[in-house]
Amino acid sequence: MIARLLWASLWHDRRRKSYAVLNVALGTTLATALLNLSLDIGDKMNQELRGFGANLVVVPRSTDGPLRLGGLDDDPLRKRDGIPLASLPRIKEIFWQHNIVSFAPLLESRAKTKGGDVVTIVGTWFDRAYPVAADDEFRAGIARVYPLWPMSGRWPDDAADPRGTVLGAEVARKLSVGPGDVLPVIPLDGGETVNLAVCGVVRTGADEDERVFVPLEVASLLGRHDDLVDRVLVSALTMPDNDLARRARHARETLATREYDVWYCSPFVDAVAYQIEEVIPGARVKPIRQITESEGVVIRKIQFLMAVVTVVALSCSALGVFSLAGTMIADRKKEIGLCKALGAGNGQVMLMFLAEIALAGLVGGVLGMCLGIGVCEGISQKLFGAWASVKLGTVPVVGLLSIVVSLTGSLIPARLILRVEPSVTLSGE
Amino acid sequence: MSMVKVTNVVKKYGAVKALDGIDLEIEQGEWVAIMGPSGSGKTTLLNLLGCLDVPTSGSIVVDGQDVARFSANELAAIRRERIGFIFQQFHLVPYLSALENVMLAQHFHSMANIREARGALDAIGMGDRARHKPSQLSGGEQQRVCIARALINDPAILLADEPTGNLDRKNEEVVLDLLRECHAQGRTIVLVTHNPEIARHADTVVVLSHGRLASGGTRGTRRCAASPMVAEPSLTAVGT
Repeated sequence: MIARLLWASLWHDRRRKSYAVLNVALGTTLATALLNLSLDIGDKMNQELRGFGANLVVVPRSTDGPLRLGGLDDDPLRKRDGIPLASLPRIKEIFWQHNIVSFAPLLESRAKTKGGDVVTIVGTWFDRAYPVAADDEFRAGIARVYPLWPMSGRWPDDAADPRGTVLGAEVARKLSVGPGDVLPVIPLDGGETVNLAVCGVVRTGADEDERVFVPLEVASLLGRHDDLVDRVLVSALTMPDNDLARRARHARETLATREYDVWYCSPFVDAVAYQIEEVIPGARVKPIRQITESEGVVIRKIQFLMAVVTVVALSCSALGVFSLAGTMIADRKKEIGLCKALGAGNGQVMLMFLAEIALAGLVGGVLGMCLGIGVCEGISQKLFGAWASVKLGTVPVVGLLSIVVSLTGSLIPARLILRVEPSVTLSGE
Repeated sequence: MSMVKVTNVVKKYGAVKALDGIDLEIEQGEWVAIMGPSGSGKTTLLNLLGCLDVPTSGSIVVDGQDVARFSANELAAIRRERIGFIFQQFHLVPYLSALENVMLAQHFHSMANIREARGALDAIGMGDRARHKPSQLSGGEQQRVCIARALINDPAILLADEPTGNLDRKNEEVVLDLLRECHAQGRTIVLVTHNPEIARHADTVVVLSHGRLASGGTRGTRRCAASPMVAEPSLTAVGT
């Protein structure tokens, strides 16, 4: 009977109910869109921010002292220690292997130009196919790690340009060479001249402007063995640190087993670093905190803003429902009085009305959820050029929210039901 | 056996006394008509008897329970268990069919039963109109649905407030026939009416004037002509 009553009442008063449905739908559309974006924005922003470069540096454990991105200062231990090139595929074998966007080995040496200028040569991969067990199409190289570096010319092709070179802007200026030129260099300890084919000039405003990036194989020609590299820059998708991550960073050994499992199985930058250290013995992995922490701050601020907008939208919906429920109850006083005269208790009548509103809210919620997913995808396409991954967990949350919004909006008006006196509303006099 | 006993009941609305010291006893199976001019307190008395309201003072015993101090929910329980209402304005839920309107009373009483509800409509000759909405029914038909709804839970007391007030002569007769039938089955009926023709069907006529009992109140005081209101031509024709 309740179902019949609800359906008949909804259908009879469909215009007003459709306003309520629309009201809740608008609120939940925004809530669904923002909730999904909010949950997805971490990944999306992370992917976007990965363009700014590596957030992890793998160095030999013996290497100590401050680390600068690209600041490849001369280190006496470097001559003895290094990261075995053969161990690099293991970076793509860790638990968070799919979060490893790319990596690039760096091997540094020095050489002289024909004019006698000493330049710092950095052997690396630019953008090479590097199939690994987890990903046949994986590509590694500095162009993958730093896709947003401002470049005049082009990145060399690892396969087609065996002497392809990218000059730092300062080196290019000093030596007056540019893309298309050939730069002959000689190892410091003498030896054969190597002609570098300049493909591009990069200007980062940092140490890279003073470097000459050459294929790793060329660096070995200039006096370094390429089976060991000085460091590896890793670009990984990570999530902003939370309290657990901060505790783990300072005292991992104090974590309980369960906490440790949660930490290990979450893509915190320290957890990813730890897992890389596990697979490359003798390596130390240092997170570049300026990048990881600023990512966290930006994402948290965006998520907070979205939460505020969601709360405001849902509050507006609740206000709309409040107004509609008030009018609905006022207009149906006679019906309420009749139900009471027939023996319905206050609770029963109130439940009937709240069920109607909750049902309208649920319909609005489902509608809003569908619209919200569309809006979320639209925003994601517009902002990130990619589809947002809709989280199934948001479905019950939004469904519940829509009912809560409807009930919150109608609870105060529903109190009017208590005041309806059947003797007054049904009185013929 | 007394079905309703009203003792020294006073009902005030602010400073206005709608009922002033009413004493009334209604026996089980008795048909009582309450008459009186507008504003005399007929509907107020009916509301009190129907547990739709509580008196300011005095006691009202319905089927052995003093309901004068009952809470809203206790009064609702008495209404659904003991009382059936027939209204002048019918008060059918506009978006429910005749059948669903009858089932609504069942729903609040215990559990809706479509077969019983249909049977109740059949009993008053409305079986073929069960799926019709109130707006698709004539006044007489609506009132018959209202009677079916009042009777569906087998109430001990049937309260009718001007049940024929909005009906033509023909439908008035149909409704009165139904009430007579209920009375014949031994149901207690309290009916408010302005019409002496209708009041003459009652066992007892109670006449109210300015919130007081002008005449009647005990069984057998039939078709009392003590009040100026009842000295209308139609009533004098009824005789005593």
